[in-house]
Amino acid sequence: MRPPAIIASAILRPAAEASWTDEVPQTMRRRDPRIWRMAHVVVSRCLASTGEHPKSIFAATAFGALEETRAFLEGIFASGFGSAKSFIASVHNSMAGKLAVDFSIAGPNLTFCDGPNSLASAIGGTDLLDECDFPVLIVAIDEKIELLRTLTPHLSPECRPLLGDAWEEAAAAFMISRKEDAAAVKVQATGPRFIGDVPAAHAIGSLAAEMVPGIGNSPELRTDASTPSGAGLLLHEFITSGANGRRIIATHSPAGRACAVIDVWR
Amino acid sequence: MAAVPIIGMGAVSAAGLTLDNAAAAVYDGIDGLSLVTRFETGLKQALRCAGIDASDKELADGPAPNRTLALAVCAVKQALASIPRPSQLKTGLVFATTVAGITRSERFYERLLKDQTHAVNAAAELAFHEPTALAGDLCRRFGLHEFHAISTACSTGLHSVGMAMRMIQRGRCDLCVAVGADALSLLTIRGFAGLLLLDPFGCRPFAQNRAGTSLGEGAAAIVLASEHAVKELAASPIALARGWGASADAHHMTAPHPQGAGAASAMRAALRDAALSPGSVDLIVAHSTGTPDNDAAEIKALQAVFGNPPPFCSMKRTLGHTLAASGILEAVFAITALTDGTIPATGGCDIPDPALGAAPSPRRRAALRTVVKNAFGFGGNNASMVFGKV
Amino acid sequence: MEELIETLKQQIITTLTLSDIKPADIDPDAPLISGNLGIDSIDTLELLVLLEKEYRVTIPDVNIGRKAFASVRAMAQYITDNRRP
Repeated sequence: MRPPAIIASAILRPAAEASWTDEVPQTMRRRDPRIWRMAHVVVSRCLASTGEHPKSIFAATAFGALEETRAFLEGIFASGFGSAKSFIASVHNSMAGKLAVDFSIAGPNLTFCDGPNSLASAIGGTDLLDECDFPVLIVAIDEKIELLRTLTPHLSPECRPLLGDAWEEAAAAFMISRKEDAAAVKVQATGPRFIGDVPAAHAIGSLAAEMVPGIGNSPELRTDASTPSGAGLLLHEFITSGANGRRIIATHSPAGRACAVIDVWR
Repeated sequence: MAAVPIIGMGAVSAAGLTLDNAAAAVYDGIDGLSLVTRFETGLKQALRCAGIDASDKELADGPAPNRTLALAVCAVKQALASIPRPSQLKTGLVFATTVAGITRSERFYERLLKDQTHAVNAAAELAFHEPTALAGDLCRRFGLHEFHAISTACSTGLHSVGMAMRMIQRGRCDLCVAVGADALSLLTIRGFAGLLLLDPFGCRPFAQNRAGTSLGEGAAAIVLASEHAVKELAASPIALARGWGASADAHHMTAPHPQGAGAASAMRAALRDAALSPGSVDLIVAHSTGTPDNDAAEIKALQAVFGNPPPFCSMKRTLGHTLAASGILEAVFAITALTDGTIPATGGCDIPDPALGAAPSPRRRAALRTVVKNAFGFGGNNASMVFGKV
Repeated sequence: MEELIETLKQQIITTLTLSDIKPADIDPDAPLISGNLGIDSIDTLELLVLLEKEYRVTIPDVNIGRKAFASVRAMAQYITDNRRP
C-alpha cells in the first residue's frame, strides 16, 4: 500500500506557552482533567490547519491520565472516596474517547500504550485500517506530574534518563491521509519490536535498515526520543522545517525491552 | 479480505483454569460470582465478583511480577501449547489490558502515601506497571517479535483479535497472538462502584429491573496464522476470523448512544469486512453487561442491524465483566459454541425485560456456521467481530 | 425539609465548583441533570460522595440513584427517608 502522508500537524508545549489555557473551551474549564484539555487544544490547532475532518482517531500515550489515576487512588486511600470523574478519566483511552465526543469522530478509536514507542506503534497501527477509515488523527500525549518527579530518582538506571528533567511535557497531533499528495510528507513506522538483551542502539540500526535499505546507522538522520510526545515534537519539527530528505526518529522502551522506528521523508 | 485461520486458543476465568474445563459452565450460564476475599474492597456492601481461586504463581506456573501478567501467561501458554515456533516465521502479539500492573502499583502508592521513604522501592514495584512491559514480557516468554499494546477499556480484547487478524492479512506476521488480560483491582472495583455501575449481588443481563454489572478477572488468547504458516506448522484450524469492525459512539463518556448507533455501525463494518449479510449470522454473543443503559442500547443496535435478531446470549453472570479481557475471553467461548453447535444460556436473566422487545435464547443445540461477538467500552468505544466455521 | 433543601443547594454548588451559580438560581423541583445548571450525569456521581460523607446515606444501585438525583427535592427526600439516626 502507498505510504500514508501527514497532511496536518500541531504541537502544544505547556511549559513554553503560558497562555495555552486560553484556548481551552469554557465547558472544559470547570472540572475536566488537564490532560483532556491539552489533548483538546492540540487537536483544535491541528484541525484548524486543514479542511479535512478525521474519520478515525488513535492516541499514543506512555502513562495515560496518570494524574487522574493518582488522584482517584489518593481519594480512596486517604478518605475512602474517589472522584467519579477522575476514575472515568483514568482509563488509558479516555483522551481518545473525549476527543471523539468533542470533535465527532465516529470511526475506529484505538489507544496505544507502548511507552516511548507509542507513537511509532500508532503510526504502524494505521496500516491495519481500511482506506475508508482515513484520514486518521493521531494524538501523542503525556502529562508530567509531581509524583513522577518524586519517583524518578528511584527508578531503574535505564528508566531514569527517560523521565529526568530533560523530558519536556508535550502533546502532538497529526492528520494521516491515504490520498495521493506528492508534496506532502510521507511516514511509515516499524515496531515495537521485542529486542531482549540486544543493545538498543544496535537494534534500532537494524530496524531502520529494514525500512530503508542502505541507510545504515547514519547519526545525522537519527534522533532518539524518550516519550511518544517527544517523538511527536521531532516529527513536527521535520514537517514544519520544509526540508527535503528523510529523518529517522527512534525510540526504546526499557520496560518493554522493545524498540521502534518512525521513518519520515519529503 | 480473506478470512484468517485460528489455530490455538486459551482461557482462564472464574469458569475454569483452562478453556476445556470452562466451556460447559459457560453454556449452562452457571453463576460464576462469589464474595471477594482476596483483599478488602472498602465497600460497605459485600460484593460478588467473578474472581479466580488460584494464586499468581499457580496461574503463571512460576513467579510473575503481577496478577494481570500471570493471567496472560496462563492463557497464552494454553493457546500455544501444541504450536511449534520455527524461527523463520514472522511472529507477533497484540496485548489488551486496562489494569496492567495496577494491582501492584496501587498497593505501592497506598504505602507511599503513609510513608514517603517507600519511594526507594519504585523500580521494583513499578517495573511492570505499563501495558507495554507486560506485552514485552509475553514476547520474551513465548518467542514473539512484533507487538502492540492497546488499551480501549472494555472493547480492547476484541480489538486485539481484529488487529491480529489484520497483521496476518497485511503480511506483517505469519503467526500472531491476540491476548487480553485484566485482574481484579481496588481501582476498578471502587471505580465501578462509584459510578453506580455494579449490582452488588450479581448482574442480570437483559433482565427486568436489572441494576448493574459484576466485575470479573481473566485472560484469553487466540492464535491466528497465515495460510503459509498453517502449512508450515501442519496445523488444523479451529475456526476462521472473518471480519472486524471498529467505531466510536462520539456521544458521551460513560453512557452508550441510546439507539446503539455506534454499536450498529461496528457490527455492520464487521459484516462488510466478512462479506456476509446479517441474515447469515446464527448466534450473537453480546457485550451485555447487565446495566440498564448498555443492554437497552445493544438490543436497539441488534434490531437495527438484524431486524429480528438471531439467537443471542450474555456470558457475564458466569465470567463476570473482565474488562479488557472480556471481548477476547467471550470470543473464545463464542468460537467453542460455534464448533460445539451449542447456543449458550444467559445466566442471571431470570425475567427477560419486556421493554427490550427481545429475549436471550435458552441453551440449545443448533447447527451454527457464523457467530458475531460484540464488545463496547467506556468512552463509547465499539468492537465487533465475525467468526465462522472452517 | 426546606432547610435541608437550602443546605443541599449550597453543598451542591461547593462540591461541583459551580462558581457562577447562587442558591437562589437553583429550582429545587427542576431536573438536576441537563437542567440549566450545566450538570451532567457524571457530576451527579460526585454528589454520591456528598451524600455519604455529610449524610451517611448510600445509593445501592443506579435505578435508585436515578430517582434520588432527579431533583434537589428528590435528594432531600432520599436523605430524609434513609439517613441513619
